[in-house]
Amino acid sequence: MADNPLVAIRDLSRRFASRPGLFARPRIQHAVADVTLDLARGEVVGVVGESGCGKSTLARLVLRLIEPTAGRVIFDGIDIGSLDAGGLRRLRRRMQMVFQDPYSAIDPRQTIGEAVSEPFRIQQIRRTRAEAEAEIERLLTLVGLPVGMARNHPHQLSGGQKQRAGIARALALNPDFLVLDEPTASLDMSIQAQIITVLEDLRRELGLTYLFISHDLGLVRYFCDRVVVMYLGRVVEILPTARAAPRHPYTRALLESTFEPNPARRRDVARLGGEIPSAFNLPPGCAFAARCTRASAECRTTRPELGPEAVACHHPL
Amino acid sequence: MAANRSVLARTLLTPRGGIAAGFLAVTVACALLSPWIAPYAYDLQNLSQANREPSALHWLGTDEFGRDLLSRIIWGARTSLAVGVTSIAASVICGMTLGAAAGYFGGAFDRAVTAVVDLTWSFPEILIALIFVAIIGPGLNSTAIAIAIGYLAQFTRLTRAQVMALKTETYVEATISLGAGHLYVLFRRILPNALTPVVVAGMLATGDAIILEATLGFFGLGAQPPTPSWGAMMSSGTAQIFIAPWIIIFPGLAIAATVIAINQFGDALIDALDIRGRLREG
Repeated sequence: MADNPLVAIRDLSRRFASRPGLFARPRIQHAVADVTLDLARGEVVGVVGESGCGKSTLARLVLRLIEPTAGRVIFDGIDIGSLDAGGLRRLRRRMQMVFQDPYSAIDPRQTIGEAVSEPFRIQQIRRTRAEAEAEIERLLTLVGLPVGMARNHPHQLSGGQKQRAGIARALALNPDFLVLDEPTASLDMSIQAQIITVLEDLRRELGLTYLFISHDLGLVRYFCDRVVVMYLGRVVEILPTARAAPRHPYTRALLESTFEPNPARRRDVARLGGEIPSAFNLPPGCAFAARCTRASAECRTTRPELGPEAVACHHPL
Repeated sequence: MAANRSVLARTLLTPRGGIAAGFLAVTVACALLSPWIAPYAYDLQNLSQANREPSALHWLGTDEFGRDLLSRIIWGARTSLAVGVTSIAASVICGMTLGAAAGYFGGAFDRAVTAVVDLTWSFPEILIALIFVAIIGPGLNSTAIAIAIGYLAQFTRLTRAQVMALKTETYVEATISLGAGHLYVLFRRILPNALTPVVVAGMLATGDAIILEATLGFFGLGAQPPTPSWGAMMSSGTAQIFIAPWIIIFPGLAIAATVIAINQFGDALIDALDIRGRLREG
């Protein structure tokens, strides 16, 4: 773990309670359980896992868009859980989010220019009209949108253009840290590549730190420095480099399921058998044991911890 | 605002929207200008001219006290519109506040509001209005208050549903992640997007409120004599229905035409505002 990380996540947990009936006992879902992770300055950390593994919840916890049930997030030495409303608002200038669905990320009543300058209004940063317009111009140019688009409404833009506008808005206040919640998941393949290129360029130019949430391990391994693999709310493995060989059986299964465009190199996919346990009723041992070919009796009774090896498995590969 | 203007233009350009708007403009002009355009004072009695049929002197005839019906209908427009518009406006404002707070903050407050609102929703508006007039006593002000309370449930429910749906939009979360507080999110993001359907529903309810005002007036619970009210005029006309049917017919026509115009204009407005449908065509 790096000294003086930009973001330090410590034993972060979030439970959701849902009551199936009026008199039934509430059921507890552990959306995120005991996640500990450091993000060094300028690092891109990917978080992968299938839908429902808690990665989006983790994204929102890190920015305190939802409150954790346990654990802390320390941003540049500041425990964000201890901040009052004003302190949190000021800190939001330094940490921003890009959302999965660009189609609804901007209010349909706003123009792109209004959306991109809204952060200044919310943060009550006073500027002259000329300054504001210069800023809109700078931000749109930064993400590769024509300056004239400031007058358009979101419905006049394509999905990729909307996502660029969303990135421009997130960058308006010169943040250090961006959480990217599947920013390419609802875009076409070719547009995905453009958005990733924009994000890579911005990171280099502005020295940003990214937490990149995705279900596409192939994309994450291309784009990220380190990869965190989550399964049912827990971190099962942290790949120290994007190219590192997987050691957790689940990571390997994920990796084998990524699409290989070259048919000559396509190999047999080892499909996962078994059932995903209900998030409301997790087994006492390893949550992956029911689907794992290497599972032993130990796996079903004791939960493997994420040790210094950064793999939570009794029988790593 | 340019978008709003073009919505109005599209509404007015349809035949039914245009005709309805034209008729409503005349009605509103009657209400605003009644002291100047009414040919006689509304309370000028002339018993020798009682129950006269329509003539050059009295275009719509006279009532049982010899008062000019046309003048009373013009003055009655003022009563009907004033009660209809103020009561619905008050109801929309209170309903939006309650519904927005309940939908946005949720929790125990939401459960309390929803319980009361659903309870009143299960009674017809007229029953609620009658109960409240019975409590506070007859008269124009109490009619307006009773109508406002009668329609409160509708606007509260509508706003609450809108707010709850909008609350989960990504752009609301985006605004929060930029550091915005609850009031900013509610007033800049959610309410502007929730406003349109509530305003249109309010517009349509104004027609119902005019009927409700007329009904309460018919029962003698609304405007007290000699203040002219279409409902009360019809009520007094029932006694003369065989000797002077115009006394009940003309106020009835005024109510029907006004309410039909409001409904047609509201429908045309809904068509023009249907942005999703317009996008699909385009």
